[in-house]
Amino acid sequence: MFDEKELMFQVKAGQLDKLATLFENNKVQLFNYFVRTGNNRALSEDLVQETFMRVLAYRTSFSGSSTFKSWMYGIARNTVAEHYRKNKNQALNCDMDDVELINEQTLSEEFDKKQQSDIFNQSLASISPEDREIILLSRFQQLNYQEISTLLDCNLNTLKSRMRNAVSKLQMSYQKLVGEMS
Amino acid sequence: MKNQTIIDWKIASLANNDNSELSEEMAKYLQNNRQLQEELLFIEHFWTNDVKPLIMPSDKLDVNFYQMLSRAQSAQQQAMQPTENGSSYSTEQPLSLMDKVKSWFMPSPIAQFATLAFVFVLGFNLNQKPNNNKNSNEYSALQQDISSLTTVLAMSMLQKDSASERLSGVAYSRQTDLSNPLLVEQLIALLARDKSTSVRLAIIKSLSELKYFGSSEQQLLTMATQEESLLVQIELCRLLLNYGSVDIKRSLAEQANQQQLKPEVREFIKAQSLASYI
Repeated sequence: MFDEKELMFQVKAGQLDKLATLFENNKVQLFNYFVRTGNNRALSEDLVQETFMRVLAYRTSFSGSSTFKSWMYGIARNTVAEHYRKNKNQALNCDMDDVELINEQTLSEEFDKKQQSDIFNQSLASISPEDREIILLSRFQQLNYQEISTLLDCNLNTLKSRMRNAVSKLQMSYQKLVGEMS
Repeated sequence: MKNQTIIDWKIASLANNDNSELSEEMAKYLQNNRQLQEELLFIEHFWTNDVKPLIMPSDKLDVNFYQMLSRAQSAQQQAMQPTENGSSYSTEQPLSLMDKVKSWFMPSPIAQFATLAFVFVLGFNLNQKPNNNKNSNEYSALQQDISSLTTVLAMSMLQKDSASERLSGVAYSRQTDLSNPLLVEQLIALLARDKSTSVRLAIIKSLSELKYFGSSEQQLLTMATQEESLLVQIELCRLLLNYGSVDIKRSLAEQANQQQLKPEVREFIKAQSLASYI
């Protein structure tokens, strides 16, 4: 397994071809991060592309004080925020509609088997973007607490508290959905 | 307090942030708390359940990324060449033979050079004055060719990642008569989303040569009212006040009387309106 931080330092030093390795290693996770935060497929691909363009453009500002992943997700968050700031007419997130569409595309064959997963997805889509993001970063993007706290610019205790609240809201939403279905 | 600590521990251990065991006291507390047990069960279920399979992006993403990387690499090579020639203590990495061969066949510099050379030859020929009807027809045909080539070149440059290249694209667009609606559309789209203030100001300058905006007028008005950069906002207002229709000028004057616009912009619109009235 290669060291992403070391690769990023090589990119910073001018070995731009190393960016391809970082891209290949992170593109699927990053794309799914954008999809899970409520963006459609086409926009998510654009946002991945834009994020890596910025990684390249801002390569000299990479100091190595955080992991590459944490730094990259910071850029990703700024990219998506800037996109919505510039396109104020667009809805901030597609939320439930988009998630349901993705479910139809990806889970239709195994819908019965994964009904519970579907409820989890819907619960996740129904909580606020801020709460969802914190869960996504830990559960799906597999960033550790240190990386998330650097990314969100908060201390570890605040992060734990925010995580607890987010999971609590997720559980409430899950129970509500289960109640509606039964 | 104990509930919070146990929930924190559970989430942290599931997210591989904490490998410690629950203390005996906490374990006893948990045993006697059914609601907390249910909460932990939910968290565990959510964290271990395969909520959604990863969705794969399309090949287009790879294509776009590698195009972008290739452009960056060729720009880097071009930037390094003068250093190589002019300095004996260059610190750059030596390129492999394969990389050098690849760089010779990179399509974009060759295509750009060929287009520029073609435009130059056409322009050189056009400097010879036509002296009969035949020459006059050829002259206008060549002029059209140049205009369409410049339009294509401008549209291509406007799509570049580098702001300086996009600025060149805007400059090329001025060399055309802006009769191509696609070029105008592209300019206006770029004006709406470009990050570089210089590029946006240059586009506004180009549009002022158009002097008629047709169906895009309303879009320009929206941009003028929502623009965040004061400089760009004022230039957009100037553009619309100089060349906009009567309705647009009236809308802008009405906006100046409301509080939505920045005070500087409101003052500018009022001053411009007053000057035109005088």
